[in-house]
Amino acid sequence: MERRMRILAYVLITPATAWLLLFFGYPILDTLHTSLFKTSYVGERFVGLANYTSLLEDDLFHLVLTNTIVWTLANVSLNVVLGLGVALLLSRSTRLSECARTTLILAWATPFVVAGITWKWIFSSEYGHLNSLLLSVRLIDAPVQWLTNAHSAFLAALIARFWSAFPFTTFAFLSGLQAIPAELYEAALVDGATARQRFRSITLPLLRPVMTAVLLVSVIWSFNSFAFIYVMTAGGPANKTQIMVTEIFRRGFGYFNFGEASTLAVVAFVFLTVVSVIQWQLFYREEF
Amino acid sequence: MRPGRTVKVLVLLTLLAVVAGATGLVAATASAAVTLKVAWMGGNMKVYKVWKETFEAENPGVTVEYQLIPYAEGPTVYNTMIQGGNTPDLGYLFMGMIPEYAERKALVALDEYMKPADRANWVPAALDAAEYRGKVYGVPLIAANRTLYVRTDLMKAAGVHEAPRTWAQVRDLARKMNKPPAVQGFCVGFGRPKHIMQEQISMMWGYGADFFDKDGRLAVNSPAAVRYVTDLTNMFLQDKVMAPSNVTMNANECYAAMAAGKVGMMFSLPGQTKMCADNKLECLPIPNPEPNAGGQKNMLLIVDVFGMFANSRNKDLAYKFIQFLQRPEHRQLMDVEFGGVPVTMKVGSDPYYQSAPLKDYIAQTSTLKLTPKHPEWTKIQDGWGEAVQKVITGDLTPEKSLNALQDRLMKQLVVPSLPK
Repeated sequence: MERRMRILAYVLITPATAWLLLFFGYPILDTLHTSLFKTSYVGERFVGLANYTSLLEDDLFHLVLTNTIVWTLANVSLNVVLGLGVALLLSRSTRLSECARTTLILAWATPFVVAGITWKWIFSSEYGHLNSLLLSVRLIDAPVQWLTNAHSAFLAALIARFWSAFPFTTFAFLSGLQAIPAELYEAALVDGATARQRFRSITLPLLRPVMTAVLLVSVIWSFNSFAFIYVMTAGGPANKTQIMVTEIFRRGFGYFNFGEASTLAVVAFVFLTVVSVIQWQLFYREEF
Repeated sequence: MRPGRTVKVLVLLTLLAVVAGATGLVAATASAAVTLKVAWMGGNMKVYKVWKETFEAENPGVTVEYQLIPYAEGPTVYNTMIQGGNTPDLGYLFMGMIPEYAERKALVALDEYMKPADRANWVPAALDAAEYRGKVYGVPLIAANRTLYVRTDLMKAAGVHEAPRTWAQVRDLARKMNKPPAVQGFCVGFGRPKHIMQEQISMMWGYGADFFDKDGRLAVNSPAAVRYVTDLTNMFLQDKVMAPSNVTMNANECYAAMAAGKVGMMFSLPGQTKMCADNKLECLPIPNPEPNAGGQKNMLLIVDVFGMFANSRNKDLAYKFIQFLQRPEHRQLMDVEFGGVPVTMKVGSDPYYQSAPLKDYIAQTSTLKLTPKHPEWTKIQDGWGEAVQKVITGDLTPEKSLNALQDRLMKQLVVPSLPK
């Protein structure tokens, strides 16, 4: 009987295992393999780790890596801090909060490319709504070149990505907040705990499982966020808003240099794995 | 066997034969049905629909299936198609793609299909755009060269009554017409690296600079190239004759800006005249100025090419479609809608091509020049554009930026010289 159950278990996990091996295992191994080759129009040539060592001298890679780290940190910070703040505001069931939740879903449901194009028009220096608004209330005298300057272009893409991503974070925190028993807050109130103490001693510890998941996916999704940069700045001006995923795409499909693109993909994979493991270790507790 | 039974058997056999025959006919018809897949870049032009309907009417059983690819995504989409072995039968290509795709054996050399009469009908310079290492990998589809355009009213208002004849006069006129923010003296689509090359290369040649030297070696940091980039970027940085938004604009946005009355002068394609006229503005093409010492007076010959992919299973039919497009009535439909210069000999004599602004372009035919035919041209062209971007954003001096580009390309290119 036990043997039959074991066989059944193997049979049941076979489709999922085959799926993982075929659609995750094989591409990862193939990317790793391709990263050891120099690819060009004349074909492939095995170069060992040369693609990796050349990254050390590649100024563009250093810029892209720095941009990616700044982009990811800024995105995650904004998402977590403001997402949690908005979730706390919406956790009380009022008509306004119900309405706000519906509105947030609309932002979340908008496809990234559509949102990116819309935000690009909002930030357009010549015809954009933002400049038009700022000029009409006389906050500025001349149109601001939002997408021309590297810093403001980065900021514009960041705002657009935040607009699209933070509803998920908010809803995740909201579900976590609603799972916290109200009795705990009542008991704390009876004991004379202040709002700050209740937040620090009840809300934050009990939100830890949600926080872990949100941080994990926020880092991965921000790091891999392609659409907003690609649509709004295309990595410009002069590659100053180029991030890892857009650079991988450019080298692979723009220049047909799949060797270098795969090398960058492997670096990104390792980077994300390490960050995810560290995050897991930092936030993991036995009760989760 | 009784006669009645014999008759029944014969009737049954006859019915079976009829059914079998009908089935075979259906099968044969089904097998004769062919789908010709064509990928177009750019917008969905009206002429495409006319061609599809006419070709299908002339070739029963043939369905022409179109796929539209935005210009900016063209190289990426084709690269993906080639990598996945999923190319169409025919594709609209940039001329810069020909060397790379030919080297990757993704395109069919059309020489074996092309009869001498077919070949003779193409304008030689235009057909040359599709030629690589002695073979022809496509036919010209659209030619839209670039020359300087000037707003005549603004020029006169600036007290200038003759078109500039030197590059120094071009810069001077741009300064005189510059009345920001209403009107900028000049416009360059610095936002897209390809457009920095494409729109401005006549000026680059006029300064005596080029991507490769006379021996075919990479020379993006030649002294002439540094002088050219210095002057071009100083028009942006010092003269401020270009709007700050030029950093992210592409050439199409510059064309629109001129048609909207916001730009005094820039390089553009023949369609610019009509775009301006629609807004009741007079924008006229002017001949490229005389070159600086050591430079050349050249106009870039820009030809978009129609190529046949090696994976095509309908090569004969695909070539039939190419011949179909070569007919004068089809060529003219395309040229009129796009505003292109002629690419076939037969239509060149038509009165349409003898009127402004096309005659002004045709008058410069003797100065036509192609971009270098290098299999990694996209990388060179984009690298050049990014090097110029680094100067206008104030990150690097022209010399440092071009030296860095030369070093990078020398490392990255498989062969850092022109193929012989």
